[in-house]
Order: sequence, then structure tokens, then C-alpha cells
Amino acid sequence: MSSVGLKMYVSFESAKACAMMILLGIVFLISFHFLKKRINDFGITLIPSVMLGFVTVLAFYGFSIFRYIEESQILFATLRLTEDLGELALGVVFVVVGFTSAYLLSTRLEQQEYRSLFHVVPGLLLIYFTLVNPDIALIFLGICITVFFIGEYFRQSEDENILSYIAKTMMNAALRGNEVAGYVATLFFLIGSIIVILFLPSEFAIGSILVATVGDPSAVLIGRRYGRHKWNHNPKKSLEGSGAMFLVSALVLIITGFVPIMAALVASLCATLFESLPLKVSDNLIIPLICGMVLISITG
Amino acid sequence: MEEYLLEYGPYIAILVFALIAYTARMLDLTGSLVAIFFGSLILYSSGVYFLLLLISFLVIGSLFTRFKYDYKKSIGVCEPEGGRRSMGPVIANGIIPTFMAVLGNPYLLVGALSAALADTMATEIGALHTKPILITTGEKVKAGSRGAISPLGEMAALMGASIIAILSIILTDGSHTGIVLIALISGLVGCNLDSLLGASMDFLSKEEINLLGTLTGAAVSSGMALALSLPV
Repeated sequence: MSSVGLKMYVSFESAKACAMMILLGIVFLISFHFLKKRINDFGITLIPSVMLGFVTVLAFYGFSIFRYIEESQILFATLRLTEDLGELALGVVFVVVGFTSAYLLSTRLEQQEYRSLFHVVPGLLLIYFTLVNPDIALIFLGICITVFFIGEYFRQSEDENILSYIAKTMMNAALRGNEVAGYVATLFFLIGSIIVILFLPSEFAIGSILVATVGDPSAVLIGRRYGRHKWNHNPKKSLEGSGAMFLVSALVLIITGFVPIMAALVASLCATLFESLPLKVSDNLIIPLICGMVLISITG
Repeated sequence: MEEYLLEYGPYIAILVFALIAYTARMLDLTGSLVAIFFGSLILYSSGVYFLLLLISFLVIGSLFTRFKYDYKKSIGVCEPEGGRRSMGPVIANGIIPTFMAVLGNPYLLVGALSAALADTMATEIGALHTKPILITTGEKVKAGSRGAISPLGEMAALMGASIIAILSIILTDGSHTGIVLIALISGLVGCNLDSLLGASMDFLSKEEINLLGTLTGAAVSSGMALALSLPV
């Protein structure tokens, strides 16, 4: 037992890069928040905030630009960008097509249905990147979380500047009334994905993200339309929705074949059970964690 | 017969413990069911030492919830139903430690659990302090309100982190002293981030804040384990 240490399924450099990106975003936001009261100009405030962020990140490289460049070179070597160029180009095409179709759908569908599709596009993209290379998926997630933090801050801020304008037009369309104050479902989805990609073998990570991406929305869609038999323990969820979630997630897990059939069934069952509970924590984080735990205990 | 007892005995022990926790009013029915599920997962994948650490967290947390319960009830900062935890708090505080325990990783488990216990003890003991201040602005607030900190609460957090630190020595057979430092620091950081989130983000629920606190503990401990280059 004493020899058990930190085991990760991605390289140290990409994990560090992901953490540094998030740190950069947070330090930038905090310094921007405090500096904007002193400096009443959006453009000028940006410069010291970004610089403070970079200085904080450099601290983790011993304040040495050379060490930073050295570690970045190792990172680019592990990312294998040139070898997987074809796959990555395809990924970029998927990103463009996915987000364009999501945008087009947003005008056709009702708000609730659009919301439940809100995670499907990034989730499937994430699964694709994990298949190509988990390190790239982690970097993708780091970028997503940083953009999310910054976007969410500027969406909520009352100042008039270009960033708040972009953030408000992009995000307010998909939000429910009570979420305009603070939108965290996506954040929890991203955090859950980071945890499973860091600590689980990639096939289990993909399985867990699949259940959260495909299973959970199907419960929402079916439960809202056809849900008649409400659960005793949670009147907001119905037998039909849970059944749909179990069937869809089990089918998806079995068809993709990343996990053994038995594990797929048990993991979908556990995820469905926890989804139906009346919890105050976002499903998007609970489902991948439960799924990942069950998958790794059964097969590992 | 003996092999069967050795193999299935711990699972029966989990059931018995859940029954004790239920009758001693530490957990209600849903909380016990979730605890049994989490406990069996940990036992099946990682073994009994990891489970003991989580059980001690539950027991110590419940003990301090009852500490001066009547006084806390009179000022309105106590847990509902005599401190009996239902599945909400069990999942919020327990899911990250359980995940790390299932991975069989002592550093991450200790970090997450230390943050969870430090936060619980800081909440329960810090509520007894009469003049806490808000962590973001420093203004005086009512005891037990969101984001309130006090010297008493910080001491309690340190105590909670040290309890997990001592227990973690048992987990690693006393061979890694670095884990003590990890437990102390990640507990304190996780607990204070918990207060910070509670003060600044009122759209997060209490459970979500607890979960993010344990997650921070795990993140700090993994960073420290890598930085101290502890044996992998």
C-alpha cells in the first residue's frame, strides 16, 4: 500500500498546462475585478490584469522563461500535434459544424430542448478528442473552463464593454430564468470531465462522459414529454424518463464497446438511480463520477 | 468457512455500521443507503483501510455536529433534524473522497477528506464564536452565516485537518511523512475556499459549495504530491 502514489492517465505536462490555463483565467478575473474600480477604462484595465495572470503562472515555472519554453516543448511533443494532424483537422471541422448546427437549432427548438442539447455538442467533441489523444482533450477542457469563467464573469457584469456584449448575446438565450444570476451546470460538466479524464483510463473516461452527454438529456427529453408515473422519492422525475436514460446509456455503452457489457449495465443503472434522486448538486458532476467509480471497481 | 468470513465479513460490517449510524441518528435512511453503496464500492476496489478513514470522518463529523447542539439550535445555525444527515450532505461531502478512495490513491483521498472534515468542524465549532467576520469584505456578520470566518473556526479547521493527518499516517504505514503536510495544507485551503465561495457566489447551493471544497482539497493535494515528488 505504501507504494501507491499519484497515477494519472495523461502526461504531467498537459495536466500542468490545463491547471495553469485555469489559474491564468482566475487571476486575470480577480485582478480585473479589483482594478476596474481604480482604472475606469476597459482597455487599459485589461493590460495589468493579463500581466498579473502571466506573472502568477510564471511563478510555477520558477520565474524562468527558459524553463517555461522547455516545458512547453515537452508538452507539444506529448500532444503529437503533427502526427495526428488529420484527426485534429477533422476535430476542428466537427467543432465548427457542431456549434453552427447548435446555433441554427437554437432558433427552431423550444428553450428546454435546446438546453438539454447544450451539453451534447461539447460532450461529443470531448469524446472525439479523448479518442484521438487524452492530453489534447485535457487542453481542450482547460480552454473551455477558462473561456467559461471569463464569459460568465462578463455576462454577469453590468459594465458596457465588448466582452460583456459578446457574452450576453451568446449565453442568455439558453438560460432559464433563475439561472441568469449564475449559470453553473456547464461548469460542473467540465469539472466532471476533467476528473474522469485525469484519473481514469481513457475507455472508462469516454464511457462516463457518454452517459452524462447522451443519457441525461434523453431522461430530460422523454421525461418532459411522456413522463406520467412520477417517482415517490422525487416528484420531479418520472419512471419514463429514468427508463429512457437507462436504456439509452446502456445501449450507447454497449454499442461503442469501450466497456464490458456487464459493467455497462451496472454503470447505467447506478447513474440512472443517482440521476433520479432529489439532490441539490448538479447531475452533470454526479453522473460521470458515479459512472467512473462503478466502471473502475467492476473491471479494474 | 473462514475464507468466506474473511471475504464477506467486511461487507457485513458495513451493513452493521450503517445500522448503527442509523440508530445512533447520524444518518437517516437515504443517507445510510448511499453510505452503504459508497462503502461497498471502496471496500471492493481498494480495501478496508481507505474505508476506515471515511468512517472516522463520518463519526467525528457527527460528534462535532452534536457538540453544544442546543446552543446552536437556539441561535439557529444548527443542522436540521438533530444533525441527522440525509443523502444530500452524504453525497456532497462523500463523493469526491469516495472517488479518490476507489482509485486507491492515498494522497488524493487524504486531501479531499481533510478538506471535508476541516469544513465540517469549522462550521460546527466556528458557529459558537460570537463575532465572526465575512471572508471577502471583513464586515461583522451573524454567527453561522455564509462565508463567515473566525479564529475559533480556523482553529477547528486546523484540528480537523490534523485528525485526518494523524489517521493518514496509519493509511500509509507511517512511511511517508509528506502526507501529513499534504493533509494539513489541503484541509485549510479547501475549508477557506469553501467560505470564500459561500460569501461570493450565492447562486451555488450549500451542497455544491461543500463539493467544490473537497475538490479543491484533492486538487491541492495532487499538486503538492507532484511538487514534493512523493513516490508514485
